[in-house]
Amino acid sequence: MSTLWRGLGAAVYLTLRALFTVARAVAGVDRALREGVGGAVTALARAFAATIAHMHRGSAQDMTLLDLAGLALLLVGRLFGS
Amino acid sequence: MTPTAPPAFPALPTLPAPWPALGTPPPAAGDFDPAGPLALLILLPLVGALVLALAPRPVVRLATRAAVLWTLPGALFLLAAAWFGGAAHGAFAVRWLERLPGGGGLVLSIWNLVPALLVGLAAPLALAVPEAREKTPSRAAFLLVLTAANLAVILAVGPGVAVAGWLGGAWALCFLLGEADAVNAGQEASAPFVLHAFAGACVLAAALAPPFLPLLLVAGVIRLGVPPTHGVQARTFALLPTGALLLVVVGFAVTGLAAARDGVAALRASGVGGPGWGVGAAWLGPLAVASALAAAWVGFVALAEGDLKRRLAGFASAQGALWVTLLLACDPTLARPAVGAWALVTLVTLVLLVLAYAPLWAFARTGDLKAYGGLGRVALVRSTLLLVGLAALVFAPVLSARGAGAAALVDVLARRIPAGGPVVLGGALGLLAVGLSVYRTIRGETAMPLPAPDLSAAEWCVVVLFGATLFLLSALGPPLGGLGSLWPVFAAAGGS
Repeated sequence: MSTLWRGLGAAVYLTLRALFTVARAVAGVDRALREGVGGAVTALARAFAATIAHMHRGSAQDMTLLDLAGLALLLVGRLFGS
Repeated sequence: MTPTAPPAFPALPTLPAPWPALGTPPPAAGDFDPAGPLALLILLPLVGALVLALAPRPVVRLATRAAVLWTLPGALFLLAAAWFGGAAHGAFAVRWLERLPGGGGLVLSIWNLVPALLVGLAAPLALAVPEAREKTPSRAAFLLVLTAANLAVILAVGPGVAVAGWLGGAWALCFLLGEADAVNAGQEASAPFVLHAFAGACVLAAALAPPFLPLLLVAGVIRLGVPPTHGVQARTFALLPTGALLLVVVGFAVTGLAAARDGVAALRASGVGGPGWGVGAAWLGPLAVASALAAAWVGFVALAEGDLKRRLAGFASAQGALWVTLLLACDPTLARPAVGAWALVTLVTLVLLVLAYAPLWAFARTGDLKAYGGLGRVALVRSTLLLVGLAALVFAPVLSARGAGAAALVDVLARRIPAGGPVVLGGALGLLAVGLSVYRTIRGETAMPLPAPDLSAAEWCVVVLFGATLFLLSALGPPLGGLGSLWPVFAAAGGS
């Protein structure tokens, strides 16, 4: 009986080790993808934000509020325009 | 609340433009009452936020501590509605419609009672839960804004209020993350804000033009943290304080799932002569396979994470991908109650897990869990709570809606579609990631050095409250509510 349990424990341990090995590899690829593709998207977004910030001289909160105000105007147009 | 007969449902819901009434017959204009309790559910937290913003310095600390009071009337009202529907007059008795002065309206019915109740109960918890850093007035104010935004999305009867709720939620999240990331001047908050604002923009586009309704699936995927947005979800979970984490887990999951459900329904309907996207239904299969692979991917990523909050985020992402796969791959009659009920059990359990871990966040790295574990020796009740939570997560597909979740998984596997294997693997890996963390916390190597880590009186109150809530919800009975289905409209619309 104890041999069975010992064998079962060893099997679980080995399975978990294998899973963690694969998981670390996948996480590495995931990180690389995020830093690669995600980094490119982020760089693009930052450039866009910098352009906007250059044109609009205010704080980030100002810009957030302006953005939301613009969307709210669209919404009001949708609500009352149709 | 006026008791009415169960409404008749069309064989397959057409797409009543534009949001969020997919599958539900739009109420007649004469059914609406003037704004009342439902409007107050949203307005009271907003008034509370305004009071916190304007409170003079001598009373601001008191106002911050008392912020929870702005959410209690709403929670009690929703509990009363659940009791009314579950125990007193039958599920269809809950039917409350209000029109708003500026257009649009709010509705509370059997169709949205459960998600509204989940958010309504999570709000006072989020404001009352002990935090590592003292709650500031601005954090309390934006927790109230986030509560109001989520409730607005759930209760909205038209597109205007729903879109305002989505955008308001993104706005509140931006401030909560920015405050938590003060060390980096809030730089970490920008990516989640942009992503969630984009999700709000997708909902806005869907509201403006019916052909864009499938964009709701994109919005849902973002809110659920399904890859490729899982990295942002992990960062969000890691940064947010405990209260905000609770609200985001519950509020974003229920609103995201509702959007994903409607997006999938729109895709499905567009294949049978719906407006635009004429071949939309042809996308269901490939999207299901992509979503299943995403579940497996994020399951592996969650397993490799070294931080408990990030593991919880990975688990939530894997579950989100799994639910989206089921919605895409299975017949609506099976998938919809399965996903709804599974989500209800999972969300309630996640709230319990977060509350049980709240005093231990400082030791949330996996290495710390091993070194400072041993909770099983010094805090038996908290350990039991963690184990019960873990068991509920494992058995959620079997426990809920008479095993509809398990039946949906078996269906996907039995039909040998390519989504079957990866989706089961992803769900299992996400569970394993959380399960190993709980195991380490309970077993550990040395005695835990935390003072009085067992359940406090307030935590006991929370456990009892959630037990009572689950009892009320289960009384609604499958397939019409509570443990039967998170969004029973799924069962009704698909089953008739």
